[in-house]
Amino acid sequence: MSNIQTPNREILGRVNEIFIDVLDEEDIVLTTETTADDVEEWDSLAHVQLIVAIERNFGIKFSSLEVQAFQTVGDMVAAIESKN
Amino acid sequence: MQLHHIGCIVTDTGEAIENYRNLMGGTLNVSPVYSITDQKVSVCFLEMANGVFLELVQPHDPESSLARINRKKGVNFYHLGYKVGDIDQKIEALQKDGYHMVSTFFSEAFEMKKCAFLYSPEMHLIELIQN
Repeated sequence: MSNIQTPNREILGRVNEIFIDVLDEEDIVLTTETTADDVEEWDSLAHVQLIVAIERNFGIKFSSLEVQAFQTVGDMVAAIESKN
Repeated sequence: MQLHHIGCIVTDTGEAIENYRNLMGGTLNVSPVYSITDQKVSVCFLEMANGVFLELVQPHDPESSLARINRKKGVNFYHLGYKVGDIDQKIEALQKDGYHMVSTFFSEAFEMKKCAFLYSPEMHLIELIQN
């Protein structure tokens, strides 16, 4: 059972919507443990589209080091929260 | 930096070649078909103007992003390819200008020279090819 905090849960929900929109796949359900291996459409082209869509949606900017360090959706959520 | 090609997705390279050959009045400069291992596609270049090509890209993995965007969204023209003198320098300069790096690879279609895909700030996909 994930111990995710409420602010992070809200961020995760927004990120989930972004994934659905960008990947055009209604059935995506993200958890903080989700990786690219778990989502068929999440490849290198889609990854950049997702990062840019998240940056625009949240009004933030990731550094290239941050992007390289993203292993899971939880890493993304934590980085977003640290900038809000 | 010189425009080299416009990349478009096709489902049947041979059929597309014949359609473009007919469109061009029966005469068309066509390259060999190259298999690009990294990308799981085959590509072929049709010379549409002097030194400017249409790149026919046929995905061989039905679950690849190219096959998917073609199937789901009907996108087929999807990138501009440019030849550049120093690809690493150009990548660095473009990233400073807000371009987003997607991937680098060495292409069978360009004598295994280094290539890179980047998204422009407008999210248009471009390919750089080491000249």
